[in-house]
Amino acid sequence: MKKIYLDNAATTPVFDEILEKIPEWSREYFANPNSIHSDGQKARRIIDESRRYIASVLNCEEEEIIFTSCATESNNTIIKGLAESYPEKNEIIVSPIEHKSVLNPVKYLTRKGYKVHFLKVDKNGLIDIDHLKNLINKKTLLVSVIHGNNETGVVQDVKEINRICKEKEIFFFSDTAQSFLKEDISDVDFLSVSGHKINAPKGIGFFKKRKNIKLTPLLHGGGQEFGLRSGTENVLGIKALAEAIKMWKENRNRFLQHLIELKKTFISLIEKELPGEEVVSQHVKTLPHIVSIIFRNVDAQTLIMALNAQGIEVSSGSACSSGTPSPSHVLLAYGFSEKEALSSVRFSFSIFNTQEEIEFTIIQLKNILNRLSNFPNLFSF
Amino acid sequence: MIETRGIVYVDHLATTPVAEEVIEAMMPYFREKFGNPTSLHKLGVEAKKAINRAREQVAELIDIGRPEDIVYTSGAIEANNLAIKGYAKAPGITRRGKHIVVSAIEHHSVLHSCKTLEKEGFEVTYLQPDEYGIIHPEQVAEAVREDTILVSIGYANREIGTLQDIPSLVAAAKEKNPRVVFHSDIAAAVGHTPVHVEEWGLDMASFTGHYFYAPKGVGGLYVKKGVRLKPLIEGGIQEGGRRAGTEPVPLIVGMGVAAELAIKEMDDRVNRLKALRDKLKKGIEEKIPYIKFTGHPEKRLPNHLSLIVMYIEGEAMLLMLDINKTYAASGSACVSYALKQSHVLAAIGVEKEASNGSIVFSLGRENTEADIDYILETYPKVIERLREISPFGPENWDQFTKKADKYKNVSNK
Repeated sequence: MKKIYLDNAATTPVFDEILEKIPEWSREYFANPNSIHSDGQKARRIIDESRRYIASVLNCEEEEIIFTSCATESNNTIIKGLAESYPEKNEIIVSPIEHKSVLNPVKYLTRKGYKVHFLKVDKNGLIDIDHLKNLINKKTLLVSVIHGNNETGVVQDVKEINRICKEKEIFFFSDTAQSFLKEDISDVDFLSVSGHKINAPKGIGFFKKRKNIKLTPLLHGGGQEFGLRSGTENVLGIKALAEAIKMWKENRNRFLQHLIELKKTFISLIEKELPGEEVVSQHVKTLPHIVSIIFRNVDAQTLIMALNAQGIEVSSGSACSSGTPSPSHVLLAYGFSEKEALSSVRFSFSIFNTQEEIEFTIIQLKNILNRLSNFPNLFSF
Repeated sequence: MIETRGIVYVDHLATTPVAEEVIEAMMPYFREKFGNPTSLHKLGVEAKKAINRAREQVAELIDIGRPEDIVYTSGAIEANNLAIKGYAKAPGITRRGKHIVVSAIEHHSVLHSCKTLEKEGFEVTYLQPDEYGIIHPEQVAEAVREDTILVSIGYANREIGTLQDIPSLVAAAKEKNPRVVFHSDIAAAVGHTPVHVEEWGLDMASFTGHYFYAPKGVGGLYVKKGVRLKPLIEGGIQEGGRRAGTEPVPLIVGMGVAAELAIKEMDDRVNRLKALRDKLKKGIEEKIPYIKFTGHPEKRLPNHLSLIVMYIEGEAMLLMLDINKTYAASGSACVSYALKQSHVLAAIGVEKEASNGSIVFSLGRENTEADIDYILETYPKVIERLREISPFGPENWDQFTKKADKYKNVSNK
């Protein structure tokens, strides 16, 4: 059976061009970059080059790029590290539609006495910027707003939020794990990236920290990454990440165009073939590779399993919490009911998907939904 | 290795070259089987199975019965941070006390984690080793108190190779306070010499893949069932909620295969490399005067030789070895950039000026007798040459150290 992978917001396959190089890089750059011998220095140079390249892409300084194991680690480091470095500030403004790796550290801080303000979100998934303006005060440590949502793809007006935070001299952090390279990113204080969302391997990520902001590291020890993240550097991962970013940069228009067309086809076919279903946040700006559909009278898990049986791999939302069958906190924040949230399926595309795959998926979806509606009792809530 | 690679890499305690078998095993998981282990669909389930298979392989290598007690991390440094800070901050722990016992020769990731806890009101007792780097059970028994929550003593020391008698240390700690949790950084030993985590009575143990021919970026912490941790990295539900973040599937698969390889090759790694190490030691002893071997002569890693070479400049020694295609280390790679005296050498009583001449040869599976012969041919010449140009020797050493002593308060950061 042909496999169709439409869960690229969970993770992406590594580019062939990188895959080919992995054995060679593993051999060439195996040494510990902290060793002073020639092989160690060779590994060190690869890290330096990669960092320089990524800094140039983000138009920032090299020392503002801190490599970590993934965006989750980056998010934890930023939130907990800032809290430790600026103990005099004890309020945090955060959107309720953040990834769990932002919300859980924030929750941890509430137990330590921090006051957390959740930003209002409208039905389309956009945060209320006026609300943000009202909430900012002298005690605000950090504003955290995800750039492109990982479940619905909704893109926030990060430029405006950044402008407000800059004006009020408040740190602004945007989780850009899904949006990096797909949407332009303003000059924010902090952003986080995971390699495996952009066709680099799992186990590597980074965050950007604007210079002159204090940050207490999460991991202590060897003092790597300018003292901000101890641990022997994942040289292979760093090299592969830089190369993946390069691939994206060099082919960006083509990649984005491809994603936009896939999504356009998908949505127009949904509207044509399955007119009763709701495309979430259809009328606001969303990432080119993510779309969520609420299938009115269906349990999403049932639908996902049925699709899976046809070789189509999708998910109900964030992979990080998909083990738990609770409704998406993101859709609840948008104002959807629990039932609606439990009926949502996320389709996320990659440059490796084809128009035929999209068409095939719609046919399968239609068949499955027909079958489900013929046996409503079998799958009802 | 000199025949195959044209170099003699003897820095296996900084990192090891990834084994070809490991690279091969990882390859399908980058592109073909690239799923996210938390995803519920086929690719996800396949990835989950792969990382759980690796868990079994690693469990066998560290000799534990429950693979699910392994929490994957990005490496030993993260594992050490998680063990120390995660345990100290776990719910209810501080009600028992806020006292921690560690050895003074732990890796910085253990010591610095303790330092951050000290700032938060924890009390830390640092156990000083004897001149061989050994921590004695009596010291542990003496240090552990009613309010001690955690003891952390590493099994093998990276810089001096000394192995601790972990079972006796655990027994001494638990006899004094049965509720105490015992953590050991076993990273420098795993894959180089057998470890028996469960049999030794450890509650937590840290390791990293890149010390046993797996790639960098993956390691783990063994956490015995019942020991609770406050996760350092929170978010998703990965690793039983103890470590969030998408698991690096290919790296984990690689570490699993590397564990299997280690079990298969353990006899060779222990016996053959020990013989090579002994040959290297004997040769150096015969050919180079004014040296002092560090660490314990017998209770040590089989692939590890460390010594102090007097009357030379250490940095120059490493650079000249480098020119001779011999890649060794002065100590821990993590601190090789900072020109500070190694805290390990200081703890075993090596004077600061002498510790400058510290060198560590750590052998690995690709090293051959020819490598040892090559080192024994080139290394003594390096030392001879350096001593020719050295401004000090046995005749004026005391004078030099006194002079250096005068400047000892000058910061060298």
